[in-house]
Amino acid sequence: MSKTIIDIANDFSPTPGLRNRDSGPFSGEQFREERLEPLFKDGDPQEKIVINFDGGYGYAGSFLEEAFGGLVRTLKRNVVDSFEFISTEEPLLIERVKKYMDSAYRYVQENKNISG
Amino acid sequence: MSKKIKTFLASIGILGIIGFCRHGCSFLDIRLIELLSIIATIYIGSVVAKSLGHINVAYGKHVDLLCQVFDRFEGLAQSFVARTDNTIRTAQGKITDSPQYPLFLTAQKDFSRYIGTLDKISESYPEIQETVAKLKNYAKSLDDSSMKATDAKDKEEQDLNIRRMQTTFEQIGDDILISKANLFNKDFVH
Repeated sequence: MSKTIIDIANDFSPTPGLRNRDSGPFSGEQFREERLEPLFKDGDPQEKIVINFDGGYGYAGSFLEEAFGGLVRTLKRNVVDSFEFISTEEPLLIERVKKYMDSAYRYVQENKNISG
Repeated sequence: MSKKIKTFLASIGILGIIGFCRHGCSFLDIRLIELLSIIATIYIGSVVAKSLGHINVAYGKHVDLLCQVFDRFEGLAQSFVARTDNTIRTAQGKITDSPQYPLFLTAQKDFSRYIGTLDKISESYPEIQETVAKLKNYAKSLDDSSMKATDAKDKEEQDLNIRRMQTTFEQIGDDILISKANLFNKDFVH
């Protein structure tokens, strides 16, 4: 099985920004719209998406939440299994990102129940 | 000390012991066996005291190491709070335009990395596991407040979340102080 690899520091920015485009360049919103969402335009990708978090200055929580939690809110399903995360420099980052995705999915479910 | 003097002193010593064996020590009113038992007690006591000293020194170093682990966490947490604050304050318009922004990212990364390290250290030192669990909760709180501060729509909300970070940092300091005192008390009791 082949993989799509996104190395954030090299392919996007070593200094990722904050949540929205309004907050400055290289935001989580920009990353989600330009790099993640296209991979899901025909449904869940057949190949794993490998996200490498290593190599940059670091990540603001709002960038991570908007990029990955925001993806779940946009797609309205939890797509955590489509990803393989690499973070040797900051191992707990993976846990955080998965938590953002799970929380976003809970939010989607709750809103579905309210609107349903 | 020259060889002659040593020989002289040894001779006097031997003569003294022989005399003691034959006549006892009328001056101190004790016999040789009593004297030997006193010497043996003093010797064993000094050996035990010395070995306890070694144990205490080793345990003291162990406590020092754990205190350094806490101090490092506190230092990184302080840096994270200060750089979040500085980044927001020095931003001219957008936060990411602040010259402090890369430092803020680095501070967050260093802090987060250290929590992973702390986890590993606590696996080998059960006596700090409870404190580490508390510190991890504080770390989550700092992350949360930092995110809210950078997401904030106005200055008031930014300030509120920076203050929350500062309060959390103070709680970290207090808890570390108590944990250090507990470690030192264990050392004392030991």
